[in-house]
Amino acid sequence: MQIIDIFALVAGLLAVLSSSLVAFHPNILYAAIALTFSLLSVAGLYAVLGADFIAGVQLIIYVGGIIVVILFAIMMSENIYRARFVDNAKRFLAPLIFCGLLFFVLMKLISKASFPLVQNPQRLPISDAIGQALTTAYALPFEYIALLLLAGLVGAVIIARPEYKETHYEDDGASK
Amino acid sequence: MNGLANNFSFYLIISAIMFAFGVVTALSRKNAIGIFMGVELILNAAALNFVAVRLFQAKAALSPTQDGAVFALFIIIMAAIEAAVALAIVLRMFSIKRSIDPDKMARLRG
Amino acid sequence: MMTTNTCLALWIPVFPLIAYFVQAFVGKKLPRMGDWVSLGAIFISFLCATKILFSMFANFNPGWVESWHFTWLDLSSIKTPFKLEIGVRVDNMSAIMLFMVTMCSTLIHLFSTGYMRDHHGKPADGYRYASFFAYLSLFTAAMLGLVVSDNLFTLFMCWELMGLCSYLLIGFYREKVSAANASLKAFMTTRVGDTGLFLGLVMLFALPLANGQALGSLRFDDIYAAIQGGFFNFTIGGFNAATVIGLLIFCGTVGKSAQFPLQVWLPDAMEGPTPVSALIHAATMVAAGVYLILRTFPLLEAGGILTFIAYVGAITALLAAIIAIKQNDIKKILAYSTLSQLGYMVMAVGLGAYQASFMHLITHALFKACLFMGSGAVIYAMHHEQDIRKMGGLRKKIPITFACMLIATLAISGVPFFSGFVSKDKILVAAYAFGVIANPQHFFIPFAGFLTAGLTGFYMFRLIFKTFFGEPHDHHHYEEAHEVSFNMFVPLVVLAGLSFSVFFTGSLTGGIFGESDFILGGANNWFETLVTNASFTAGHGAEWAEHLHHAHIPGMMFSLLLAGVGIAFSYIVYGAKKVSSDSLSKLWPDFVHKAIDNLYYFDWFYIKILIQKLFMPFAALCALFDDRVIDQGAVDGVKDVTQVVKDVAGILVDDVVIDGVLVDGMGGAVPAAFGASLRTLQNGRIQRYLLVAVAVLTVVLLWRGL
Repeated sequence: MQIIDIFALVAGLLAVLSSSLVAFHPNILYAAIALTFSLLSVAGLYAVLGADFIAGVQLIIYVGGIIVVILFAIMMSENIYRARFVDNAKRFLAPLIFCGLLFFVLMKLISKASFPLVQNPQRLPISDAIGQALTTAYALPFEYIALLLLAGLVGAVIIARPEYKETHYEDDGASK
Repeated sequence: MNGLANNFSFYLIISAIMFAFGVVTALSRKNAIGIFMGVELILNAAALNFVAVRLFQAKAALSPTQDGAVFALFIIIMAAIEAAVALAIVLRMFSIKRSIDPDKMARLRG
Repeated sequence: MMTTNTCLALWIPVFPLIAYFVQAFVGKKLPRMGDWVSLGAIFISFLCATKILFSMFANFNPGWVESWHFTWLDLSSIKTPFKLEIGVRVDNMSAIMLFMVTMCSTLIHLFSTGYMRDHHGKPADGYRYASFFAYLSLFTAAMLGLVVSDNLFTLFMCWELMGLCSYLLIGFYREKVSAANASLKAFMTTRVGDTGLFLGLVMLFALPLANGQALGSLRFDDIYAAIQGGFFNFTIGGFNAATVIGLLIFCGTVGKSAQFPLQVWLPDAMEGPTPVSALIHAATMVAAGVYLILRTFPLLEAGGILTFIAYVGAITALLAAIIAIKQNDIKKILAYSTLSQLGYMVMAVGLGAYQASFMHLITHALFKACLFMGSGAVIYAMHHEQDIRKMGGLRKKIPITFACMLIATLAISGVPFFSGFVSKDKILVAAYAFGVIANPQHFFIPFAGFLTAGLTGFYMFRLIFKTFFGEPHDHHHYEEAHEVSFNMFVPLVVLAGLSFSVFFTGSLTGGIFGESDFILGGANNWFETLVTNASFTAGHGAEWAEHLHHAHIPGMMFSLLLAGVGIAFSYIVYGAKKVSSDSLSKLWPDFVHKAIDNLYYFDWFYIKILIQKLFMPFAALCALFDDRVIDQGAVDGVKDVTQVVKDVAGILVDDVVIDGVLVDGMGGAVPAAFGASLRTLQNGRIQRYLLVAVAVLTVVLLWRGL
């Protein structure tokens, strides 16, 4: 058992535990914190998997950006202090059933799947390869996603903009 | 065993569990942000899956383009965009309804 | 194997039948109300019958038979034959009969065109004039069908049809209560006889014969063959089969030919118009009964009931003649004389002299029809007065009618030179041979026969004297009396012309001076020769011929004697009025008069005793049964059951099943249940949508993936 294994185990356990908290904790703020830890552990797993660049990106964007935005939104909604702990457990019933089934199905798939695998993969630095891929093979999706980023930002601003009253120009006599 | 870190199934199981928890969260949280958190979990699970496959796939020699990692990258970028839009919606929802309970947003326009 | 003659024979009844249908449906609208339709049809049939008669003379063979038949119905199984074969049979007897029936019918149709109109030529009964001819045609069709049929089945069919037509025709003046009653009486009385006939036919058809198999056929040929083969030597309930069946068949004749004891309907049947009386009750329908026993003679012979038949005939003849003496209605006199002559015919069959019976049937038809039509002319001339006491001296006024009636009366009285003498003489000779020479214990038969002959002369001439001679008793009608129009006296003349003996024997004097006295050479005694059927007289051998030969002279002498005495006596009383009829009637005691007046109390017995005391209570019992058991029990019971079913069905099915389950359920609860749950699928809650998506995904993966 090498240190990488221990690290992987810890990261994995942390990920699972945090996810469960995200799912089941009644307080949304606690759920957000749990989500942070979950994303952190996923970053760790990325590192274990040798995708160092991705781990870094995960930390910067997910943990540093998205979690912050989530926390921001939570704070802005007043419900946090009138936290409804009265959520009945019944809301878990149907989701748990189906998710259980889904998990069961996924387990079955995993056990049945036979991918051609490498036994002891090499963990090589990845940044160079990603850079090359983004500019050659994945150049188009890269540009797409840049456009999408712009559209998303613009859209978010429009949606979140406060209401404007329509300005009426009194001297406008022409029919509309 | 070749150690846990080299066990492909380990990563798949982790991602499956996270995925399941993410679905549960999305379906059962009575808070719009909670639903969003569930979606994030789902996306993460999928990205984890991609990266794991990238490492263990046997065709790495044939395609040195690191497909899995690139996918994960894109997923993360998508998540960021989505976060912005989703939270803009949540703010809008809050300013109209004074609540972010998804059940309260159930009136279909007809 | 259809020859010309059988083809004609098939068509002879069809023409009047077609005329019936035409006349019944469109007769009213035709010019002259369509009497020419019926007359034309029967005239065509007459021409066909003439052709057949010529064929008969050309063949001149006692065994001449042309028949054609087809299988109408064949339901035979292996064990039991059941074939209904019907067809036509043309032999000497049916050829002569056809000729007579068609001729009489044609003449009577012609007569009716005059009689059924009033003195100004308008039809007497308005539109019913057309239906009169329709009925006449139908009746004629039935009679002709009876004559040509070669089997007892169609004979019976036509028999019944004639019964219906006689009902329709007797009751033609249906507003008269007496006429309506008379028609019913005729129908019912003949029905009694017909029941026996039907039973006999059924037995004949279906009972297993001595050879184990049922006859399965009603054709005359088959019956004759079976009798000759001795198949009828079996017993039914202890009696010889042929006896039982023969008796039952004779029942039909007793009814239809008005023999004792079913003679009660014939006098009442005079309520019908005179042409009806002429056709039905002189020439045809009553003759059908005699025709039946002529055709089934072998069966009767095998059954040994001939003597019984002779007695019935003799009794009828005598009793009817006695009543006829006291009658005052011209038609009633003729009715009773018909009864009497029918008795002669039946008696002759019973004596085994079937040729004589048949000859008398023909001659009687001709002169009796002439008499009836003559009386019709008299009645018409006297403006429908029928009582002879009110007539008198008419011979100057209606001479042609008088001449014809005189000739016919001479024929019926058995005066030589006329046809009636020939036939009656043969009968009386046979009676003498049977009752005096062969079986002296049956002397009643010849006694009755000869006495009746005398009485016949007496009362027939009484009619002549009172009607045509003497002083008129009703001057008003007498003044107005005039000769009838030509279409009424032509039939009279024709029939009177045929009432001479020359036509029947080829001799002017009818063989009175022995068999050598035949003027027309060659076909002498043709009638008797032709009608003799060798197979019929199986029972009568040379012994009988011997008896006949011996009885010939005495029999003839007696008949001449009695006829002469009767006529002379009639002249004394009614012609020259030397002896008053009142003093004659006082000779007899009161009870005799009462008995005769009440027609021997037959009507009283039938109505008061049988019907009122016996049948009516039984009918009431049946009606009670019908009402209580059938109507209340079954019919109302069905009503109650239906009620229950309605309640059950109505409430259960209708309310519960249909309203409750289907309407409320299908329309209400089910949509409510499903709808409520299905409605939540689209409630706008995104988490619900997501759940559904996940669920579907899971299900698909589960189902497909694994």
